[in-house]
Amino acid sequence: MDSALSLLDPAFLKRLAARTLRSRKRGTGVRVGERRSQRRGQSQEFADHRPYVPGDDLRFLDWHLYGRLDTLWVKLFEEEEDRVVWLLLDSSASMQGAKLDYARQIAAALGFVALGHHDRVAVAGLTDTIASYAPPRRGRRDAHALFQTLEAVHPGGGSDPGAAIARLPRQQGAGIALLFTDFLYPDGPDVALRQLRARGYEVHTFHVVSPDELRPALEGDLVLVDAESGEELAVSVDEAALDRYEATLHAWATEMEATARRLGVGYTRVLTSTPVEDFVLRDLERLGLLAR
Amino acid sequence: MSLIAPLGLLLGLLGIPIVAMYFLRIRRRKVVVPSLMLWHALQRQEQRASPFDRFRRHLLLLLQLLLLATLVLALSRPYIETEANAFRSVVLVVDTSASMGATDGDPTRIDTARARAREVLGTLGPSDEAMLLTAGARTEVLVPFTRDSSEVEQALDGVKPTEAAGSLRDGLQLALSLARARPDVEVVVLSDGGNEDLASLSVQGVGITYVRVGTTASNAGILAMDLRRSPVHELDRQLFVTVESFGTEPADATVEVRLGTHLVGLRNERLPPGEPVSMVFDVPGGRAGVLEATLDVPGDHLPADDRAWALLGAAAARDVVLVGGDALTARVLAADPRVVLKRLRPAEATLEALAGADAVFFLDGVPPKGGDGLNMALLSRKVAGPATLGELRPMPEIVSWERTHPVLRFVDFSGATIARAASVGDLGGLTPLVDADAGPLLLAGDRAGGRVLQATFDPYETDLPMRVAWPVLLLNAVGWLTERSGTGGEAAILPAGTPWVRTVPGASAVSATGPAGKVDVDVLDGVLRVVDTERIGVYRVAVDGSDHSFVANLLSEGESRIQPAAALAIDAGSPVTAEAGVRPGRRELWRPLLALGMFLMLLEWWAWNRRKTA
Repeated sequence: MDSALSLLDPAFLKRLAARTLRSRKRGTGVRVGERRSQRRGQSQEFADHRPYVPGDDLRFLDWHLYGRLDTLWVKLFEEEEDRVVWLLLDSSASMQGAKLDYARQIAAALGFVALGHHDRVAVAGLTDTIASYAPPRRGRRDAHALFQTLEAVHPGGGSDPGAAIARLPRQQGAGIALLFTDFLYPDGPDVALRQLRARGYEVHTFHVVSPDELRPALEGDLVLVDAESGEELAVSVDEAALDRYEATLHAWATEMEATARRLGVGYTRVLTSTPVEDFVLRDLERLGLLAR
Repeated sequence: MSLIAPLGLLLGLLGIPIVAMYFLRIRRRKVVVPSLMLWHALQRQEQRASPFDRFRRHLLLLLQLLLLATLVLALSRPYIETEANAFRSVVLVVDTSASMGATDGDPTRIDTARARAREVLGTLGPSDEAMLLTAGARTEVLVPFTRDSSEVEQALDGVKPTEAAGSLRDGLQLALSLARARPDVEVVVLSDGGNEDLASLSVQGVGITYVRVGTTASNAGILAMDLRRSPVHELDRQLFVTVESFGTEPADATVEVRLGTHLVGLRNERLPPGEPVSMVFDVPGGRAGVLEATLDVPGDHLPADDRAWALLGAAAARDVVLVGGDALTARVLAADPRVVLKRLRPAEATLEALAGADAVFFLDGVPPKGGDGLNMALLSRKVAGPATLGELRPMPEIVSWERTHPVLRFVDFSGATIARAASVGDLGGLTPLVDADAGPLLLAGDRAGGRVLQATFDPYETDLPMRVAWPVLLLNAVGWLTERSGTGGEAAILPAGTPWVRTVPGASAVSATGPAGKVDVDVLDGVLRVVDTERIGVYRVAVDGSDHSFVANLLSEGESRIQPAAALAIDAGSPVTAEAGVRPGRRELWRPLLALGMFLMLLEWWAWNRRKTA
């Protein structure tokens, strides 16, 4: 199997093909896609009537109404447009290992669904800058390229998602930003989330947590080295310390969730031990992020 | 709480390396974690945590330091003073020397010592052990280490003061060596201190308590007594008595000397304190019996040194045999009322004939072979003796003579004429008494069994028989030759507590009585031995019907000087001062500290293990 496609199982991809990525709000796209746009347009779906004014396209006059009412009304249609789906992977050093792998797989799954519905899917690896970037693609035929792009996201570097997002190229139209991260940001996630919201995106965060993080397999007197900054911290770890750590982690995760909610950002915590298929097909459907 | 070995606290400095190692030990393993963010948060939390939580982090270190502190404290041997005696075992050393019989105790010092000893026994716990030994003329272990206090108390009842000079030093030495063999033994000395030099004893970590008994120094005693022949009359005796008062004031003393019930002499003297006073009593001869000197001083506290005895031997018959010789010599010898003279011809002088003789005078003939044990005067150059005689030399000139020798007492050789004398080759172990230019004229000495007086001249070739010197020499010779035969001299005066030893060949039926009744006599190969002489007085030893009596007197300045010592000068540097009573015990705390240490060690192990397996 191609290494890029190894991200996802073909059977899983087949099941994904029937899904659609649901948005909680309407965006504005630049191309006619499968999503309804706020702009009334030329799609086949009727939206409303308005009185004719000179200059209107005569093709949209409702002759049936003119016959009944003797007044010229123009038919307005919902314009179906495409949208941009940002797959933003936190590729800082803290994501190294299972977390980044897991994030890639969910991103690949959601990206695959988005491509199948003619959304434009862009990928960026974020550290304290943009570590990698792939411009928007459209159509399922680009799935392979998308997977390759995701594979190419390598961990390393610090965490400053705010700075990285500020550098993201702006895309026309509205969209969805899916941020896969461990939230281990020294300065917190606020700036980054606000920036994404400011761009008008619907933002959803996936807080990727590895079981190792929940209760690290540490014991004794250790020097902990920060994977990102290289900073060292001498600690003595015993059962009690681990209990306190666990409590701290839960408090912090809850705080992250609260922050996300406060900023109008979706938040889903996922353990890397959860099978990807279960998470995508079951949990995300239940959350309303994916639909059949 | 006090410390016995405060220097042990210096080991507490080991805490510094322990703390240093605790913080440096730790070659911490490096572990890469995604982020320190949460760990920092955790640390901040812990800094805000309660002191108890922080304490828990260093629980192991704290336990180790506590363990060290416990051990260091145990090593410095802390103790608390308690009512009960802290020692597990006690060696009671009761002084039984004569001075312990002083009547300034309750009523005597030994009674006080016994009471104090019981107090000490009363402080012992049920598992504590006690040993009782007495230090008198002899050191005796009365009760070896036992937990049965009643056994020791029972033995205490039997402890009496002797009337002999004792050695506290020997008793202490034994007690200290016994105490060193066990842990936690205290030697309790119940004594008036004695007057010995104890500086060479080493305590070496053994606890020692000196319980002083006695309060006063007021005492006077007979320090010396001797019975001698009177220089004036052969049969008379003179009794020398030395007395001294040890009080602080002059004491009026009455010294009485009795022969049996007959008063021989009486002196009233004012004894200046600390100065010995000697007096001489003339004892008329002709009577035998027990001479007893008594000292009477008001306020005297020690009876044992107020009496002393001497045995005045009867002018017992001395069997003297004259072999050869002339009538004059025979008459001279017979003139001594003590002498029973028998004359033999030279041919009759066989060993059998001479057996039993106290002295044999040869003026002719040959001493029988095997007669070495006889006391002999070989008063002719023709009689062979130990000294080998050589050629004759004419007219030897007398150069000097031993005037102090008993044989030559009052003998004047000046002007004596000797026609010829034999030269002497080998002296045969004899000592020259009279020297002439040609060599010795008269020799004397002790041989294996008897005494020998040998002349190198023939008295009939001299003018000696015509001089006064001759009979004097003969009688002196009788006295000297029979001196050791037991028939002529005075009985021995022994210091009390000294074994009496006498050789009586073939002794079989032996019995002895002392001042306190029958005493044991050991007989081994003709040697009689009376060991139990710790009572002063007259000891009568009957051997096959003959009397071998002797007397035992205290005559010890050390015992008469009854002032109790303020301290026992043991271990020169740190004398053991007297305790007013039984001092409060020291309860050493190292045992509970050690137990605590063990507990802390277990706790530390548990904590370490828990942390490791967590």
